Amino acid sequence: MKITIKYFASFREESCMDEEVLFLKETTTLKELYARLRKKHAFALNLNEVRLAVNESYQKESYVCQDEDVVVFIPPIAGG
Amino acid sequence: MFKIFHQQSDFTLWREQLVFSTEVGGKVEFEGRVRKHHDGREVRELHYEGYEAMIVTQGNHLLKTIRRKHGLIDLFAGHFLGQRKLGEIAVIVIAGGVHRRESFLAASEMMEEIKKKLPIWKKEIYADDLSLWNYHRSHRP
Repeated sequence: MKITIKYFASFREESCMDEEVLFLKETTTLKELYARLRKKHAFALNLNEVRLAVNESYQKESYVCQDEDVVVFIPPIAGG
Repeated sequence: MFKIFHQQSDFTLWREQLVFSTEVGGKVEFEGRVRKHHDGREVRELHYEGYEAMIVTQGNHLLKTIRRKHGLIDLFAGHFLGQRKLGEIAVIVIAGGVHRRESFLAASEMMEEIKKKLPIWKKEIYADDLSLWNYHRSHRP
């Protein structure tokens, strides 16, 4: 299962990349995906400070990743 | 359509080409601008970053929903990404209805929803050259 993660704002700075692609063999929720990538990149934000989006729509942390999903971790937004 | 502006010329062209229905009797235009002070610190400029595909998808959904809810005739909105200096426009909402009441309500609601739902982030560049993502301010030493 191919998952693309796009990084913005502090996530982009902390990971030093705009996006990465993971190939997952096991069933993975967004919560599990965030925990795995937080450990890898030492993200500062806790999951409860982050909103999660898949394919341009907000999703819950219990969402199970699907093949070809594009995932974005959304830090507290600040438009305007 | 919700617009993303990268250059001042994008915004100027968009603004000049907007056409309002002759049924509009009350038009409200809101501009969010970069201000000099935020939480007691002097700001030199802002840098906006956004997830553009989702801004457009979610922004268009907001425009459609709010326009319908308030029975508006015209509703337009857009946001700048990239560097914005003091006094420059960062976000704009223009609402046109038959009467002023629905236009005021719709412009206000659209602005609130932009701030809550569109994936846009702001890095504040301060006068002393320090910079911080807006959401990290509460964590700073």
